[in-house]
Amino acid sequence: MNTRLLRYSRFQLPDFLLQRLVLPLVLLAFAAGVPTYLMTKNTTPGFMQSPQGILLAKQMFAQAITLYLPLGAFVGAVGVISADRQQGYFRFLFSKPVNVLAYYAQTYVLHAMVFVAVFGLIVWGFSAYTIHFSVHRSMEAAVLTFVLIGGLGLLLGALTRYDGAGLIAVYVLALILQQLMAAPSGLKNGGLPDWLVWVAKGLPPVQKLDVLRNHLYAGEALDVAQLWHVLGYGSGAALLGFVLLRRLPLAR
Amino acid sequence: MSKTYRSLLGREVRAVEDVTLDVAPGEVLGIAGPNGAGKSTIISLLLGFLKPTSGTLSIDGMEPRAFVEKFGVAYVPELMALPTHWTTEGALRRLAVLAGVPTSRLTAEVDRVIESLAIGEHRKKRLKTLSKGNFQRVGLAQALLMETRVVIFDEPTHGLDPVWTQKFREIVASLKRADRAIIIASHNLDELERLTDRVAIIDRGRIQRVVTVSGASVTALMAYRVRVVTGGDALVARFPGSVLGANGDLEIPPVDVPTLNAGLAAAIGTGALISAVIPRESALEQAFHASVGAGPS
Repeated sequence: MNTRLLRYSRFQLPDFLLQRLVLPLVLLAFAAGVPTYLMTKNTTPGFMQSPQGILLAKQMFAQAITLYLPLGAFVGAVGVISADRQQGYFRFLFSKPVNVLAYYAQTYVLHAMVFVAVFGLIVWGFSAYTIHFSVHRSMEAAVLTFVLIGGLGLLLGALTRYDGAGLIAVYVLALILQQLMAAPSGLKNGGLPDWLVWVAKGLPPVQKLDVLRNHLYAGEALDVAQLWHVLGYGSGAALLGFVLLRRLPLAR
Repeated sequence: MSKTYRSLLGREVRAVEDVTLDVAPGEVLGIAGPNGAGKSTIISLLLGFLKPTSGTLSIDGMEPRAFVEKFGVAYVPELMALPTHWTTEGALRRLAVLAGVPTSRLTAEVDRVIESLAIGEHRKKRLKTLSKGNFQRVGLAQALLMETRVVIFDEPTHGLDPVWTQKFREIVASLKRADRAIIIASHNLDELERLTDRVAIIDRGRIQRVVTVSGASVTALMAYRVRVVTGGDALVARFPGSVLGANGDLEIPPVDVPTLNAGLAAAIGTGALISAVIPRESALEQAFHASVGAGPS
């Protein structure tokens, strides 16, 4: 990675924070920030340590995670490569002495760093007002989320201009099928036909990601196989995305 | 090299076919052709934005993408596409950083190109508020941010007013350097004739011919329009097939330069007065129309 690209990061960082991440942050402020503020304002000082207070704080934390993590990772992962291609920005960016792979690798790494750091700040602030939540475990959960969703976003962005719709479709389909498979129905693989089980297993392990995140928040040990599956899938998708980015033409 | 686009349904469009072309350092090469002829595809291939379906392409012995990533190319695309919420100055600063302009010289370099393209009054404006011509000037400005051995302009005067079209010619003249190749794709033949050393005429993806732009050939047959003050009849007698219009303009059918001069001298000798002799078509226009098929309007 050359110095001119590193210098360019001072433009990429605020771009991500102010143009992309602002939407999940605003939603988060309404969904969790305002209720937290009202709760701390309208209850007695010891309320947060009471069983009801702890339950409420955990519920709001879960709400914040559900909102911020997938949405924040999504806005950091899609419309990066595809927008440059579709809008034609790449003609200006990549007529300069810039390595295309390094440019996008830096973009994704910066998005991941900002996404994780902001989540750490959110958890830290939330903990300050409610009960203790582990900041570093929350950040680890954010890293896992971005590796999987970011990797998929990079792959889809290298492949198609419809990476946003593609990522939503893949994510939701995977979530539905994998939750059906894991549901305690008493039937093998939730009663899904074999071919659909193969499809579910081939799709991104989003259900495992949820399980891993829950273990992290609960301070429990992680299943190493699940962890490698999620990390391997996300990294593999990113790697394939880079290969395609190098092989496929920038202009279509 | 050839470039064929294939749709998912297998439909093929041959954008560029068996094109062989070389550009030397110090040369200004024009690429002329009607819309859809393949000019922009050739430029995308040159920049490594597309890969040829067959054949090879190299810049200074390197694969185009590798060359661009290592040295950069000053490039003005046909379509100006930059995020429109960027300001003029912001866009130039970003692209200057990517171009490798050192931090210590960043402001000075951005100021220099802003001044040379006279877009100072727009420096704080968002790109979306700029007129087409001013946006095009931003595009030209960003191309001047770095010293490159290859300069590529794709329809560079599109959207520029006559004053800036003239200034663009001065910019191209100032960019000429012994170790630099300049390529200009345009359908404006007058522009190419003024700026280039050679012009490759392309139509339907094929190079039809390459014309050297070096002034009129003495033996080439060209049609002329002569503005006659008096003595039109004497001129008509000297040039068989010529037609004297009601406005006093004489249309002379294609003749070579010696025949033209002899005829004019003889007519002037008999008292004819002539105020102007204008070629109906330049050699480039003739070649273009012969290649592409459409005559002058």
